[in-house]
Amino acid sequence: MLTVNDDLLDPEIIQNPSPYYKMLREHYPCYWNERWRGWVLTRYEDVYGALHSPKMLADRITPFFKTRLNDEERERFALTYQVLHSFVVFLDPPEHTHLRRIFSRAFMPKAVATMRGVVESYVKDFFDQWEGRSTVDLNRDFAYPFPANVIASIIGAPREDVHRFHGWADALTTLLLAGVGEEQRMDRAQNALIEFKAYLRGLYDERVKNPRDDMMSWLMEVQRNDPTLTPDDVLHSCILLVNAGHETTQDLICNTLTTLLQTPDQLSLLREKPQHMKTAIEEGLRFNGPLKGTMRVAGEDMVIADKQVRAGDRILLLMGAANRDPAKFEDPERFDATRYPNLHLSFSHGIHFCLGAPLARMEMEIAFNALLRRFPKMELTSSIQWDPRILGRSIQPPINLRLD
Amino acid sequence: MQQQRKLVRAWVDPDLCVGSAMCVSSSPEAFRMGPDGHAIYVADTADETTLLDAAELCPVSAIQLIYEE
Repeated sequence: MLTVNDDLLDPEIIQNPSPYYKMLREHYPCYWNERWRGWVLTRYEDVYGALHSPKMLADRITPFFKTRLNDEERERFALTYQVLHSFVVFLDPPEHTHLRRIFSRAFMPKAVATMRGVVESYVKDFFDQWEGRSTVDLNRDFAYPFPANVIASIIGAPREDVHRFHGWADALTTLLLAGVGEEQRMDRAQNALIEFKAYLRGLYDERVKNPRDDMMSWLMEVQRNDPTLTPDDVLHSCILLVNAGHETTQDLICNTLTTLLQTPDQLSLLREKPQHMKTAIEEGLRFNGPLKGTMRVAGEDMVIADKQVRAGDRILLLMGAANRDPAKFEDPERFDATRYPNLHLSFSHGIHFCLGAPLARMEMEIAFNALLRRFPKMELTSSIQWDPRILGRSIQPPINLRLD
Repeated sequence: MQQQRKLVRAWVDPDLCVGSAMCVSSSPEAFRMGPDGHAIYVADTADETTLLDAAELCPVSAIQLIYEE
């Protein structure tokens, strides 16, 4: 029998998860990780099945608060629970269905297309500032501020307030994507939620008086005609949107560009044939997507890959491992910018499929077309260090590029 | 002016569908989830407004509307 390393934050696994994923897929496709205290799924078929199964519950917030916190903590973090529990990503049907339908309208492909001009002008602004410089930090000088600016525009927050979003989003991401060694992460997240909600409340009250053409105003309009949607739903959902549209896109930009810069044949192919940009972005999602995994809770007893899973057990679905399953992808360890079809699971699948996927795809396409066209000599000068996270896949800054 | 053609039915592209079930929740009479997690079109008659809405709401534009030749 092989010994399995139960430390999902082991530096070797964090820096190069592929061999670990391969071993699990081949020998322990449904593995009980004693240290993480849950099952880990790695095969495409099983991860896909779990994402589509109504028996797999997305509400992992309630079990966490019920079993991991004591009475005093539960009381202290009641607001965190209240906000997180209203996030559409942590809701199950029937509550999920209703909220999801409302937000889908704001993010449907047609609605996202109206944002194209805004996204293009941000991309142009950022890269204009790169002109004439010999080195830049991809993260600080583009990937970090760019998606935050876009999502702020969509919600209707002024550009000069965007820097405040960063701190709030960072605190929440640390809590949700399992940052390590952060004793105070629940306190930090709760303080961020209090400030963030108060800020959004200010925008909301202002929009009551002066509606504009932004999502906050649109949601208030929806709310007027739908008594089941409360002002808290609107505010909490905006918190979720800022968070979801913030770091995931940032990581997707950094992960995909650094992968390309380390795969010169694919980069030159794209420079010569930018018509492959769409498939290249999908391949970036598959190869090093911003989320290695997501969590579910078993809603009832079930058998997965011959293992008996009990109701209430938590389950880690490793999309990162499924995305490199040779049973689904030919030559999965190779980055192929023209791969098609490419049915990766990086945006999840099933009823929780990423609401922002059309927006993320558009942001990526506009940004990467401009990057490759405007900076033909761009080279990576930093060494890549992945941040120790269980669910997220994120490169530690800085990510220095030489431009000339 | 283009002649108005009659909408006959919808088709869900299984290579694009991600099973978000948006179509099923907005038009339960026209779409159903299949056993493989993909949506399928099941209606006999096509209500144009409903189908147009479902096609627009689909996050991956997997729903094609098929018109009379």
